[in-house]
Amino acid sequence: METEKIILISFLGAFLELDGFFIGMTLLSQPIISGALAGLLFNNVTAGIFIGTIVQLIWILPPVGAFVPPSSSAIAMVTTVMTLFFYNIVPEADKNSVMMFCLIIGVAFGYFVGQMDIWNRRLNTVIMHTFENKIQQGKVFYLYLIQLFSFLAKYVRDVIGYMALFILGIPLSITIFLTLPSQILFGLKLALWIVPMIGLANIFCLFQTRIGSILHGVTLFIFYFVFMFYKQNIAYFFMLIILVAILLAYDSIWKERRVKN
Amino acid sequence: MKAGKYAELLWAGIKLNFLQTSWNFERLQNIGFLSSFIHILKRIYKNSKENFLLAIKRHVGFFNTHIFFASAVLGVMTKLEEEISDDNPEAKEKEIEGIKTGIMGPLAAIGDSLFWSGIKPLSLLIGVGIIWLYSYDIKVWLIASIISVLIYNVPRVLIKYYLLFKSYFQYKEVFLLIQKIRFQDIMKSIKIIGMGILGFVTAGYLNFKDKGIISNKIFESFVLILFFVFIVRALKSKISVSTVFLSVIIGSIIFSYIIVR
Repeated sequence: METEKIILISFLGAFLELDGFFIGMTLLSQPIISGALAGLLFNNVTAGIFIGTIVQLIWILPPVGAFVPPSSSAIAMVTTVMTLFFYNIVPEADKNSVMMFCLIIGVAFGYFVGQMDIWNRRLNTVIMHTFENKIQQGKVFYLYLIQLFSFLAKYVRDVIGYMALFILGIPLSITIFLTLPSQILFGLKLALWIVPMIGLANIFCLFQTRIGSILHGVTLFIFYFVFMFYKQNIAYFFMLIILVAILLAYDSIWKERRVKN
Repeated sequence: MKAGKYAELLWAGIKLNFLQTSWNFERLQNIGFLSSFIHILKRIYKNSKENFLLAIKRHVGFFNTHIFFASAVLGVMTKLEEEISDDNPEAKEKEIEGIKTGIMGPLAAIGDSLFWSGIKPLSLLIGVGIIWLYSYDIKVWLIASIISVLIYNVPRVLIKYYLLFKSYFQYKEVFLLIQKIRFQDIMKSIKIIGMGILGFVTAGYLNFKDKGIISNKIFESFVLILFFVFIVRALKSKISVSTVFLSVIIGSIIFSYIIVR
């Protein structure tokens, strides 16, 4: 049963990978979705959602031009699947350490997938040169053939990558994890506690403007204390803050520009 | 007649989803772009194989723009291929090449900042925020994912197909439109709204989740905010998120060796 699930998750992971850059870029490959799907398949959707949300905000930038970041979808999927395998073996107290340990493996694999994409792009260059004459002779079929080849190369390569990692990596990483001293286990738990702050800080840097920073500070301060005493009606507060932010953006940018015009 | 043009362009727009499938390091998205509108070139040059081959040669060259804004280039190119006379192939090539090169760059810059630094992080921040503020429950995840996917995909589809048709049917106006739309102001507005939401989500994250490292919640929040500030400073100093991630792990393990005996 587990073998079947590993095969299935490898095909699913490779399929979602295609959406990350090669086809569409519709958001379906994002960790918030891929992590949860992996969790759903391995009967612990909560862990998958948790991992997906952490990974999501940290590695949010897509490949742009020649820049190829680690695959966030692969990070979320691998971390979720490996964590859930570990959960059957390790004691309850070590579960946060396990998640962080698997996140490290996931990040390494995410970088590997990114590197494989670079190899794929080099291969695409060779294939383009091979068939360019045919295309220039008007043989349109070769255009589609090149695309199909690139598509299949990426898909098959990712399926093999996922399968190899799960089949070889899971037993090996379990063996390594079980030999870790308590200091490292606590260190991993501590790191998992801090890691969501990286995602929040990443978004902060992406969105930072002078007015935005003030709004962020004020909102954080006010709602931190509001939530300490009152935890109901979050949706209303959420809508309220979006409305306030929209009004502030209008007031500071659009209204000012209209007055100038 | 017009319905046929719409259908033809729509099919090209759908094929544009595969723009990056055969991305290569030499001419980037050339194969994807050419295969997206090869059926249009076939129709335009159905009576002249020689001109068809010249058109293929024109478009097999370098192509690079934002995946969702490529539709505007496609619409303009279709119009120019139809309208410019074939009497002087050199002049035609020069004009088409000049316009193509002239619009690819600005559209890439607009698309990258609008989608990759604006709409995408905003939509995913809202999705992650909903999950963090409510729970890791599958129903909450489903709602959060749908909201994220819609916030990102509705403008994606609207912009892509609006530009595709506009750039074909009113191709001179599309340049004015791109100049007229205040993308910088839109970006600033997205960032301000994003910062408001980020402050709200951070306040909720610090309050709601039991993280189990420090028992005093206010002190725990204070320490996490300190980490947030340090990480923001690190990211501002051009240190990558992956380096920060690695540093957090190493720092946590060293710290745990100091305090755990």
